[in-house]
Amino acid sequence: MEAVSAAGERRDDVVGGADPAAVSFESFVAARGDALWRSAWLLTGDAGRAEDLVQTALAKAWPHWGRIDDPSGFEAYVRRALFTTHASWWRRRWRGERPTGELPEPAPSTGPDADLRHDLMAALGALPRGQRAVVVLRHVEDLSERETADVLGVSLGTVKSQLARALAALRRSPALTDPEEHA
Amino acid sequence: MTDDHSRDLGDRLRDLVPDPPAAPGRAAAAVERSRRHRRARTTAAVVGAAAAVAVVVGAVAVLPGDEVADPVAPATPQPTRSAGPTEPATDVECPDTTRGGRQLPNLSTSPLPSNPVAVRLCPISRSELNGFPASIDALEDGAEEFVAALQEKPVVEPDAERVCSADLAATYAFAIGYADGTRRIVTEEQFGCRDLEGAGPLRTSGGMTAAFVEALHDQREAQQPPGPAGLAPSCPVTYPAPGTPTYQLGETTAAVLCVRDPDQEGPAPWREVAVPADDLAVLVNDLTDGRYERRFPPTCPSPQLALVGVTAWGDLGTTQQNCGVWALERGVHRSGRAAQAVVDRLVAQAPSSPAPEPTSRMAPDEALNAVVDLVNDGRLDVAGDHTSAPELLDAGGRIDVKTGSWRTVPTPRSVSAPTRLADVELIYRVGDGEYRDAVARMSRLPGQPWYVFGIELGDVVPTGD
Repeated sequence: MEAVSAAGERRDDVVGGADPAAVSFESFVAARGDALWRSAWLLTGDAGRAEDLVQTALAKAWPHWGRIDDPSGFEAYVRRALFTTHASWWRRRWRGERPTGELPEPAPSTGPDADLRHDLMAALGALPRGQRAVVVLRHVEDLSERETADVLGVSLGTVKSQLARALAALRRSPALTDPEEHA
Repeated sequence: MTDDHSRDLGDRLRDLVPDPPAAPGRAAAAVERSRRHRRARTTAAVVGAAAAVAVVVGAVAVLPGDEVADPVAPATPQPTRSAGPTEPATDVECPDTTRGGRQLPNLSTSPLPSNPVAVRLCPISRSELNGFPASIDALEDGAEEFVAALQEKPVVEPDAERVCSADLAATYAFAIGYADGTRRIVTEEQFGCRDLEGAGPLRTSGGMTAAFVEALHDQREAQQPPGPAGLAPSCPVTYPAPGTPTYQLGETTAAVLCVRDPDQEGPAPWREVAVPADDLAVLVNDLTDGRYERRFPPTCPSPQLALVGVTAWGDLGTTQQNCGVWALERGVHRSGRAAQAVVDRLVAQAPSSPAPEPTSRMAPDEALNAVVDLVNDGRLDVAGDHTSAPELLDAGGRIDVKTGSWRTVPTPRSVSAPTRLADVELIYRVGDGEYRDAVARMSRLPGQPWYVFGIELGDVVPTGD
């Protein structure tokens, strides 16, 4: 899994050929791309933007392929790029993005709990992006608070406070209301 | 929310996500996207390097339709288009508005065309205060959105009454390039009314420079730095020194430490010392460790410092240290122990303070010694402001004097009344020559330092050799 030439320079003419480094990168994307896409969808709520976010994160990480020996380390790098890119999209005000109460592309909602799913999506979509990222990393990616802080490049205290606010907001969603709390 | 419910939240969120679409070309698309950034960077680097050797023959951009043609010769040559007219442009150059260059063209009031290929942040260097070296790289990823955002800024109504604070800060320019080689210029005030000109009608802006900086930093995350940018750091001429808005301290690849004492009269010249790579790593790590002081120190016991750095992206930036703390974007920072040791060592290595110029508070003999020191330091241009005596200016910088007593001299009627005169007795020698008695003829106007208008040489002084 070496993408660096003997001269120490990256070889960018090998993807698509028989170079093992390129194959390994493609294998990595094939194996983990969908998982990254799922996190991206929860962040963006839109299939197209999720794909764009995943590809942007992969493009940012690709120059580092071959410098990180451990594939799990590379995935952590990609994940960090994915979440920080999403955060930067938010900060770029010219995109006109604002917090929204509705995710633009709801997942298919059929079945007996369709309303609850819709409520949960609305509650998630209403969260500020930082809080949404913390929720996804903690409860979907199952990262610890420390790992979440590392991915987002924020302090542990920020993660805790954002998570507390996010859960408080989500708790108001009927989809997540503890039935015993109403007993 | 209990632990069970926390786990349940994760499960429910996972259930929300639809099945991912088939994306067999995802890896290839990501690689191509990354390659595209690298190609853009290489093109920019080649163009930047070519600028150093190529001769620019006034290239005038021809704009389609009713666009205002940009008559500004590019600051750096346009990419050679020998490959033929079918090869689209991929870059854009800054207008030449450096000192001696032309002024900005008339800014268009037409809407900006869509589909730009690149946007570059440029200085409008009408003075040294506003100038900065433009980065090697231009914004390509997000250029379309950036241009669209420029045109979404609020339009200033023609009859609007506008009260703005004084326009003290810089105005920057965005050079927007298109595939056909044309260019549009949009300017944004960084202060005052924050006018945005060149993107259709006059608009009010604010934040577009910061947005550009952030977008360029995002783009750089997918690229490798192009390597040495051919930009050498040096101590600033003006202070606070201008810097490239996209400069990031953590990416500094070369730097000098500039030192000057706080108690000298007037703006003292900086004493410059190069920062070795190992020391630079210590300083940068320290300055970017995220620690900040709660309070600004009440006293200033230390010399004023400035770390002037450059990056492989061609950015230049100055980090100031006053009163022993560094002024960073998020607060003031005090160096840690290792970094402070580096700073102390570099300050000790800095050249000694240059000889001071004569001041109005100096006595005649002190002023004479100051002039001699200036001559011996080789600063004849400065010394020439304080003497016209050939015995000093033409002595080749090897003057040895020992001043003795001095006395005021009555002012002759032929000399204008406010002028005061004095004679300073001295022993004078040039190089290995003989010691001679001499008298320095001095004069001064009210409030001015003493001026040496002549050296009258006397007898050789026996030394017993």
